[in-house]
Amino acid sequence: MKKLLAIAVLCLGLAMAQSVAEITRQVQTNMDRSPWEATITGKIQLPDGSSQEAEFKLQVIPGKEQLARVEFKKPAALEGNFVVISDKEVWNYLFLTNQLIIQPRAKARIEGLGFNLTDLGDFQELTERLTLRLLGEQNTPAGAAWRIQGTPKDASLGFASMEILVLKSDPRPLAITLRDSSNKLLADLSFNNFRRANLTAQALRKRPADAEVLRRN
Amino acid sequence: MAAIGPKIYRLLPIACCALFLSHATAQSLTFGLYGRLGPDNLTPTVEATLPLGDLDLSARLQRDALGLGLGGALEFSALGRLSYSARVSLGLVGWGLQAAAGGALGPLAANLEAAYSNTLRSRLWVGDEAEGGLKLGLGGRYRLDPRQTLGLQLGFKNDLAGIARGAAELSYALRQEQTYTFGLGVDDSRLYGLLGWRGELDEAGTLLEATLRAGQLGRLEAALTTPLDEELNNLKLHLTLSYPWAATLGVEVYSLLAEARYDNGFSLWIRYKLIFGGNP
Repeated sequence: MKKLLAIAVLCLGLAMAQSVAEITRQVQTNMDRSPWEATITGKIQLPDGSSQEAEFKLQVIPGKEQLARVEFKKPAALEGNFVVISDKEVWNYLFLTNQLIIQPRAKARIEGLGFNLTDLGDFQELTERLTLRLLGEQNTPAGAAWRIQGTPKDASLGFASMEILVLKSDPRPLAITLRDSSNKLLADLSFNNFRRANLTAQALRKRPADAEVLRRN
Repeated sequence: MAAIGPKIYRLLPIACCALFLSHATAQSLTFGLYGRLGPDNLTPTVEATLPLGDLDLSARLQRDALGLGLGGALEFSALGRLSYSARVSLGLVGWGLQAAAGGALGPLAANLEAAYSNTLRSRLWVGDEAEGGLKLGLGGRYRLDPRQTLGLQLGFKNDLAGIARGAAELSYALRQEQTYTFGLGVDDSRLYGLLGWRGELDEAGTLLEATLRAGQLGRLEAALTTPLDEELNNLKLHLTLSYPWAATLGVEVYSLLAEARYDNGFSLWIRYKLIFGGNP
């Protein structure tokens, strides 16, 4: 009887693991179907430990030449700043100094923001670096959603646990919560106004022509 | 022969640069030729930048002078950055030191610069001002809200003749579709007002910025920049007109930079920039 129970638990575990992998695959396929954009709102923790209202627009062109742009609306101090992420490099534009800082993708980490913005546009890369577990389902205003928990495989992601809500009817993230090792909230963000859009690389790379370009290695 | 000897000696910095480059992989190299109307006023210029761990080493050479600099920065992505640099210049006519630090973090940006030279800085590097002695500068910008920014610039100079001068400028920038700047300043007890306009002229992103300082001194600065491609190549034209009479007209296109200047004499500086390295 105990053996049967153990096998049943193991089978259930495998089934859950498979379904997380299946959900991830569905999300990736759905997100890779065409360029999309969404407004992300919520709270993020700043380096000084304070919590700030955040709002930014995320635009993604999926595929081989993947490109993502994160444009800040809030906090007000960051309005006008943006980040452009490609396979090879990351551009950071600072409005206040009119500077465009270009770094290799591998080096362009964000210290102190609690999480790496460069991960947001690439769901597959993010999930590959996490051990995922399906917690169950939840009803949201957008419809039924899967609740998935992720634990980083190494410490480089900058958070200790992640919880993500994935819409079942149109597999895509609805909300994401990040916590540190003491369970403190680092980011609590929801994806709004998701829509497929006709985005071009030129539009995502738009920057003030007179910005001072600084290349960092 | 006697005349050729010293000339070769004076080109030594350029030879040093070639040696430096042959042993290192430069990130960027800029070759130039500077000429000023008058005898003995022609010099080649070479600028090189080289990554050195997390720092950037820079070298600039011209006839009779060389400068070596070291700079670095801490990057906080969209939150901001902090940068710092120091440079020493050595020439047959004197020497100079310069240090700078600057950064932006959230709503605040600030920069600080200190320089000292015992000769005119333009004699150590043709691109620098024709002034020597001590120079201190402090600048700051603060965002009141997403649309409004306050700016403050303070400067102090104590030139080679021991004459001290101070400068201060306060400005307010309002960003709507375009950005309008208003300000007041004082430079060596000459008062002036400041008016500025910056905005895009077309869908392609052509950008014009014009700033007029008028009063007991006058200076008009205008820059027009058009993106040429997605590789960050631009066509940039810039013009500065000031009273007492001085003028600069510059063109930058792809890797070519040309600048014509009138400042108690005509000069022309043409440069060509090459960018290398793993982060094209």
